[in-house]
Amino acid sequence: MKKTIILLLAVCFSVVSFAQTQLDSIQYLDVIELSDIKLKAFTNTQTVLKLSDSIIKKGNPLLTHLLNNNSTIYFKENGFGMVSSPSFRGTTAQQTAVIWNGININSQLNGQTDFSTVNTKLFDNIDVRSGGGSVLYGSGAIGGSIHLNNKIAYNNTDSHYVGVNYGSFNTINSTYKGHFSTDKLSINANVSYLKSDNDYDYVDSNKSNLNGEFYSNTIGLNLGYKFNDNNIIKAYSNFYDGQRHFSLQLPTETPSKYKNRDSRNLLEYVGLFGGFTSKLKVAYLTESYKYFSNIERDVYTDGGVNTLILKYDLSYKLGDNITINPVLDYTQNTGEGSSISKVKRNVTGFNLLFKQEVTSNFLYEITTRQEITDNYKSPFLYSLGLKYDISDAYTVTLNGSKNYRVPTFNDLYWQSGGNLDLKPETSYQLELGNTFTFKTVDFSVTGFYNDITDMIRWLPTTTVWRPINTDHVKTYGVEAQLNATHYFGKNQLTLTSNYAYTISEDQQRNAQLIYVPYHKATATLGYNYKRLSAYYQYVFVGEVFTQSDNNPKYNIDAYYLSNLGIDYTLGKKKNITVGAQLNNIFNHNYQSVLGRFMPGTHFNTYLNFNF
Amino acid sequence: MKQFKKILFLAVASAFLLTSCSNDDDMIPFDSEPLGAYEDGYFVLNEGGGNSVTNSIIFIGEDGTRTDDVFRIENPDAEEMGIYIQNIFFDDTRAFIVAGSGSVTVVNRYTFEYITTISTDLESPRYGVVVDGKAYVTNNASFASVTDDFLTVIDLTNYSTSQVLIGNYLDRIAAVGDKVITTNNQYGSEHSVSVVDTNTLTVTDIDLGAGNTSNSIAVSDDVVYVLTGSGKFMEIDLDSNTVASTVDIPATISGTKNLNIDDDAVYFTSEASVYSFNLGDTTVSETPILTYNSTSAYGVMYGFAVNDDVIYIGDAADFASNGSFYEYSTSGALLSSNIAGSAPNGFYFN
Repeated sequence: MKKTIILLLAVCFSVVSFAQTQLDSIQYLDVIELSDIKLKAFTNTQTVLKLSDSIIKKGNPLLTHLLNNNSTIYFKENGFGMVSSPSFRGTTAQQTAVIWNGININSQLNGQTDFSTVNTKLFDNIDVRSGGGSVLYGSGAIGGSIHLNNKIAYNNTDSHYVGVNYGSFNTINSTYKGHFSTDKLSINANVSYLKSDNDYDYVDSNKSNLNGEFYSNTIGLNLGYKFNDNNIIKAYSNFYDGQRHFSLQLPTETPSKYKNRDSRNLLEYVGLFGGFTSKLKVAYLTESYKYFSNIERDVYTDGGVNTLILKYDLSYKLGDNITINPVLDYTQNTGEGSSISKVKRNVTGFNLLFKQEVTSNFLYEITTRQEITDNYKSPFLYSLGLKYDISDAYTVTLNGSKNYRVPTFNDLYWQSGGNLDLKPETSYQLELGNTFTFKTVDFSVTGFYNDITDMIRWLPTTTVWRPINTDHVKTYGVEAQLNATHYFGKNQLTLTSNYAYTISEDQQRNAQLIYVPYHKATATLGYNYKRLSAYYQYVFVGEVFTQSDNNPKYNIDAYYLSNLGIDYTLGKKKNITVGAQLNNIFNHNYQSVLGRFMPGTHFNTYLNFNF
Repeated sequence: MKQFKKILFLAVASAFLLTSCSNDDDMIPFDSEPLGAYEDGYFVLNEGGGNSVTNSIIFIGEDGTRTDDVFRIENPDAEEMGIYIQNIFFDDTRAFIVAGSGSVTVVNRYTFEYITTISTDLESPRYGVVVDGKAYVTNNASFASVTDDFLTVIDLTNYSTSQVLIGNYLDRIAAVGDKVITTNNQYGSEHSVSVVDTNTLTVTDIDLGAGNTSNSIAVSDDVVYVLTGSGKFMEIDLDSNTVASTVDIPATISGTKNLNIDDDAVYFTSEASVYSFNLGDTTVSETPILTYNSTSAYGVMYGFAVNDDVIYIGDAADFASNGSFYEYSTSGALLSSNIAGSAPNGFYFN
């Protein structure tokens, strides 16, 4: 159906060159199907790693595990399923932005996303965009951004998907995805439930993971209605409710638990008139948590922020080659908690985005943003990117940008200690990408440099801990991707692999940042034969420092993980898939946070049913 | 030449004889065995980061010899001490190591040999003290509540535990006779000390006056004194449960903390400086007896003690790497400068 639309559109626009037409039509389709269109329209000069739903449907639903196995992002995970924070290109946890259908959903309270609280099964694809993107994606898009996307398709079908997973430590995950659509209306309803006893035995020890159980429920509803080809209304919503007991490092610790609830709602109107694409978006996000420092007591600390976003986005195509796109947005956050008295923050922002395809093989894009707020001194943000196709096989990209991470509600308003004089963390960065595309092999190498100043750190003063703009960090390194496909007979072999070498140097101490490995690599070798598919996955995470003076006494050793998976599709209509995975097959004993041991060999089985 | 050799032999022989004689002489008056490798010297307690791995206890012997990580050297197979090691307190033979994660590890005071771990009736424990065969440990309990703070009572014959509910964000603790006294709410608005009669377990709060939050406590000649962050040095009368007298520290010295009393001299700190006055003085000099250089803007004076005319200072650097500790004379002369473990927060003397 999708192909038909592209073909039809190609015919319609047959006056322009074929390649150009295809690009435009894909973008036209994206406008209809996706909310995060900027990921296509203004991300031509940076690397985007795409994780399709076939990868998402295998394995456990935690975003942290999906990305740890398939990208060069490093994760600091407080034990399996526990709080997990990323380091992308050597940056801190607040310097990776998580984007849900185009909207930044990092916590307003602590500035980061806990990657163990995102259930990936509800999304149709997940993209990993490397490098700065604060103009488009706001605070925290410094190391890069993670994009959780839902598609709204109008293809006259009813389909249902049920996925049931059962694995070690009594881990259960059930997911339902329903799709109903005509050529005007699209309804997509998703539900996923996850629970685990998470009581694994430590490798080479008689101890086990205590107080680690967790569960979560996620619901998604995504609707679209086309009044006609030029007027479309879309609604996206996502609701997460979860409880985790925080696993203990020592049996003598007081067991604690954490409940959090997030809701995200987005209403979007798209109008297409001549060269104009007009979008009006209203988003309402809520986040809240309750932390029980002792599970025996009914006493907790809590906090929450509600966020309202209004956005008007007007994209104009000037001729065939120039896109001008001003965006006006207004954000209001209202926060409150045990340590934050009710406070409101208003930010108004204006973006101007510009793209020109100068020739068929050369384009450049410029993005700028200025905010007005009295909560922090907001810098002027910008990016400039160039893309040049030197030949069919070789493309060079260059991108430079200024990005920020704004002080969080906790940083500004925590009682006592919140510091109203904080400046945003700012980053200047530059990257040079080389992409080589051959018939069945593509390869890319990107060098990056990132200079981050005014980094915020909480430090104890004479009476209380306070956040201070103190650190200056330079991160630089090289990322490489290699993907290859090989067919022999009805057999298909695929290789997807990533490697990153990252220096992240604190300029005062002349030392590598803690919890940033120099090396990380992932590789997946997949095999397909008719209804059978299998893979072998290898993840290598280099040694990390845990002490700011790089004292090697407390380093965490490098670790590697090897995972195996196999599945088989049954049924006349190929609508049932049965699969099994064996993770950490060599029963390697590893930690990702000092003192917190991860599981040894463990399994997962799944049954995916389409009807 | 022969003569010379003979003299040399005699000299060497007599040297041996004399040495062994003097050794024998040394041994004879002591009829008791040495108590252990850590009998004479002091411990530096390094709090560690948010894990059970980076904490450590350093021992410095009387002769200056240093032993790192005493607990793990002596007890390689014992349970870890916990997370955020807060305090060590002693009875005659045992040392009790308090971990903020909710345990008290008991070891032999002189050999550091592991005895047991207590983990019942403890929730965010802070400091402890021993009175008459029982240990009393302050607990913050849940940080979300000001009413759940309690005292753990540990029977040191069988390590059984019980609780005395007090509230008030209990922090430091000291003992006089059969009473224990706690400072309350080091960082906040509470302005009292609590007195617990260990015989009846009755609790009496003594108000120090608005704005006077006590943050440290010392006992000298059975009299208890507290210091507030607002610059008040107060003597507490435990018979009438009132403030017996107050010395006002000049307002130019801000953020006063770390009260210690050694040999009738009172010591306290403000930022990177140590100040002193004598018990009985009614005024305090604005001139510090020493100011040390800290590379850490915020981990200054993280640990502090004065013992037998030596001032001990712990500097926590950035809390994510090794700190430092220093010995100074009471006249302000630097005696030694040393690398500590992660966040040195206290000095304890054998």
